[in-house]
Amino acid sequence: MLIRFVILAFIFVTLVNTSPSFAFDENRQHAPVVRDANKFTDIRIRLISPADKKIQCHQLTIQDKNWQKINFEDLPQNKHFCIRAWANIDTAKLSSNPSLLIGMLGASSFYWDNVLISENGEVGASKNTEIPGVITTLVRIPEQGLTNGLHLLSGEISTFHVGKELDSIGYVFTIVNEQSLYSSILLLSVLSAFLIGISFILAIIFQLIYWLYQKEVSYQIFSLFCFTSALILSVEQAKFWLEYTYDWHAFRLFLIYLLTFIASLLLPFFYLFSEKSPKKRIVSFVILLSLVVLSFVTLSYDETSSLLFFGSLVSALIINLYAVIYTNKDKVNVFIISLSLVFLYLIPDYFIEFGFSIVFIFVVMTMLIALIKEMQSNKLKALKAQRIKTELLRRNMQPHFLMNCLTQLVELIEVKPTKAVEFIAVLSDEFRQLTVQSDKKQVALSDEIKLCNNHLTIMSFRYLQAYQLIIEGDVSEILIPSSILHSQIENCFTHNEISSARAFKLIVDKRDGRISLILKTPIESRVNRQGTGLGEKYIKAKLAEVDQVNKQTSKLQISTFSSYEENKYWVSKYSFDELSA
Amino acid sequence: MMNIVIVEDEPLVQQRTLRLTLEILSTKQPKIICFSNLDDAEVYLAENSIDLLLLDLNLMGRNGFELLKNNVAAAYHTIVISAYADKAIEAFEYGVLDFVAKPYTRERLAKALERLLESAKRSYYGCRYLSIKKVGAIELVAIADISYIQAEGHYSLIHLNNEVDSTALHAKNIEKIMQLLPANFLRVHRSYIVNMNLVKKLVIEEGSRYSIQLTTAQEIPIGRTKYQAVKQYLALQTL
Repeated sequence: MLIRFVILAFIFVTLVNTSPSFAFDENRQHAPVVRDANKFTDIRIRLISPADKKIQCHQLTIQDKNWQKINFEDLPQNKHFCIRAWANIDTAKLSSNPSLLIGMLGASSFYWDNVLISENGEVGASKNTEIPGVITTLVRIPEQGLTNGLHLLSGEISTFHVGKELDSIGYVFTIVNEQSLYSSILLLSVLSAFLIGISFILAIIFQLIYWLYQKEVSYQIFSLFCFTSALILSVEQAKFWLEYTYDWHAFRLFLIYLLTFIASLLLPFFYLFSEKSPKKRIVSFVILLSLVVLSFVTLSYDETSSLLFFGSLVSALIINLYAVIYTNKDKVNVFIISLSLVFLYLIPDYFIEFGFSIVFIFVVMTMLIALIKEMQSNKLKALKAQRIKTELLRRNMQPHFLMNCLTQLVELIEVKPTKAVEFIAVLSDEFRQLTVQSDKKQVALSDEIKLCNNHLTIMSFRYLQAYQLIIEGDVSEILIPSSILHSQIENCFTHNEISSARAFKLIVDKRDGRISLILKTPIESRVNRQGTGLGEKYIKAKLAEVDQVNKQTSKLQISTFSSYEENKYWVSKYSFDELSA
Repeated sequence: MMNIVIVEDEPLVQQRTLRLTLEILSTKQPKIICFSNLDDAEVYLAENSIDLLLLDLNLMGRNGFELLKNNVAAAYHTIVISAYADKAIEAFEYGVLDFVAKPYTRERLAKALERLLESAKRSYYGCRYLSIKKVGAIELVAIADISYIQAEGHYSLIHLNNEVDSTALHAKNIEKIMQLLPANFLRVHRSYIVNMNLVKKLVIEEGSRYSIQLTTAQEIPIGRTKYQAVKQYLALQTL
C-alpha cells in the first residue's frame, strides 16, 4: 500500500519531468525496439526451476525474445525468476540524479549492463533459502553506464514470502530523479503527519472532555474515532520510519484493514449516539452486521477497507437523513457525507493514502460541528440551571410579594406595632431559609417542611387565618429537590382564596428506595386551576435539573402528577428514587 | 352621599384602605362596602350604582387586564391599588383614574381621592383606549379614533373617526370621561368634547356664535364661556 504512496510521489515527479520521444539504436540487433526514452516499456521474465544448475540472467547477449512478456504489476508470486528490461537512455532528457526506483515484494539483485547495482535481501530457490528484502529500492545508476542508447536492466528475484496470493506484488519499476522523489515524499508525509497530529490531539482533547467535563457517549466515540484514524494513518506512514522486510507486508495490510473496520464502525455510531435516535441497540447491531458481511467480500485488503468505509458512510448518511426528516435538523451533515461518498466512489483506489485523509477531514468537520452545537446546548442547560437557582430567591423577593408584605407591615406599624415586629421575624426567617436553600440542589425533607410551615405562618399573618400543614409518614432521612413543596404551597395562595378550616396535607412514603410524596392543597373551585404560571415552571425545571444531575450516577426518574380531587383538593404527586447526599 | 366599594383580599390591607378612605373623605360621609374577592364584588356592582371602585388587582396575567377593562367601562371611576407598580402605565391606558402602588401612604391615597372630587383634574396619563360595553362583550376604542364626544343624559355618545362603527355609547358621563382623556381633548361646550387634533377651522357665525369645523366635516358648537379656552389652545398649537 505504501508503495502506492511512492507511485503517487512518482506520478508527481513524472508530471514535471515526462516528455515522450523516439529513439532507435540499430546497433543491438537482439534488443527490442524501445521507443520511449528512459523508460522500461518491455519487461520479460523467465522462471527458474530448482533443476536449473546455472542461472543465466544478466549477459547482454542472452536471447530473451522468447521470454514471457509481462507488466511489472503481474510479477509471479511465490516464485524464483529472472527479469530483463531494456531502456533507451537519452542523456539529454535524463534528470540530474537518475536513480532506479523499484518497489515490489521479494528478494532481488539487479544488474545494469551486467554490472551488479543492488542487492535486496537474499534471492533463494525456496522459502527456506530466501532472505526477504525491503519493499522499496532506490539505487543510483552508475554514471559510466549512462550513455545514449540502449541499456539492459536485469535481475534475479524470488518471492517466496508472499504467501497468500495478493492482487499485485510489483508496484513501481522506473528511473526517477532522486531529489524530486524525496521532496514529493516529504511533502506527502508532512501532510500525513499533520493529519496524524490533528487526530491524536482531537482524541486526547475529547478524552479530557469526556472524563473532566461531561460523560457523553458521543464524546468518547468521537475520541476513539480520531484515535483509530490516527493509528490508520500512522501504520500507513510506518514505511518511512520502519524499514520492514516484505514478509511483514501482509500483516501491515491486515492491521490497516482491522483499524479501518473499527473506524467504520465508530463513524455511524457517533451519529447514532449524538442524535436522540430510537432503537439504538437494533441499529447498532444492523450496522455491525452489515460491516461484517462487507468484510467477508473477497477483495484485496485495500479494496475491502475502501468498501468498509463506504458502507460506514452510507450508514452515517442514513442516520443523518433520518435526523433531518424526523427531527428537523440542519442538512449540513447529509451534504458533507454525500460529498465524501461521491469522492470515495470516484477514487476508491488510493483510499488509504488519499481518500481516507480527505474523507476524514470532511467527516471530522461535521462531527466537530455536531459536538460544538451539543456543547452549546449543554451550556444553555447549565445556564438555565443557574437561572433556576436565582429564580427561587427572586420569586419570593419579587416586588409584589415584598410589597404586599410591606403594605401589611405599614398597617401593623400604625395600628399594632408589636404584631409588626412578629411579622418581620417570620418574614426574615423565610428569606434566610430561602437563601440557604437556593444554593442547594436538594435538601432534607424536614428542612423543606420547616420552610413550608414558615410560609404558612406568613400567610396566616396576612390573611388573619391559622393555616396548617399536616404530615403523614416518616420524614426523617429523606432528601428532596429543594423548595418544590414550598413553591407548590406558595402557588396555591397566588391562585386561591383559602379558608383556614381546610388544612394542607403531606403524605410521605418510602419504599424500596423509592420515595413518594403526595401534597394536597385546598382549592376552592376547579376553575382556579392550581399550578399555572411561574410556580409550576419552577418546579418542573427543578425536577429536570435534579434528574439531569443524578443521571450521571444512577437511573433516576422523577414523575409528577397533578389532579383535582372532588373534595376540593389539588393533589400533586412526586415519586423519585432516593437521592444521595 | 358617596358610594365606594373596596376589593382587597388581605384583611389587614382591606382594613387599612377602609380606615384611610373614611378619614380622608370624612366630610363626605361616604358609604363604603368591602369585598375580599372580585366575584362577590361584581354581583354587588351589577345591582348597585356606585361612585368609586378601589380595586386590588393581580395584574400578572392577561386576565387581570380583562377584569380592568370590565371595570373601566362602567359608569363609576376605578382606582387600582396594587403591588404590581410596573403595570401602572398599562392600567392607565385602559382608563383607570389612578394607580396607587403598594405599600401606600395616607397622603398618596388622599391624592387619588382628590382627583375624583375635583372633576377638573385629569388623570396622570391620558388613557389610550376607552372600554365600551357592547352586547355580550367589552370593546376597546382607541382614543385617537375619537373625533368628538357628545353628552347623552347620564351617558356619553362617542363619535368615531372611522367608517365602520361611527358611534358608541359609554356608561360614564361626560365629566367622568373628560377626566380620563389626554390633553388634546377639549371641553368646547357643556355637551361636547372635541379631539383638537382633528380641528379644521374655527367658524364665526352670526350673532357671535362660534363653532368648530372638523376635518371629518362635522360642525361642533362652542359654548360661550369656552370660546377663550378654545382660541388659546389653537393659538398654542400654531406657535
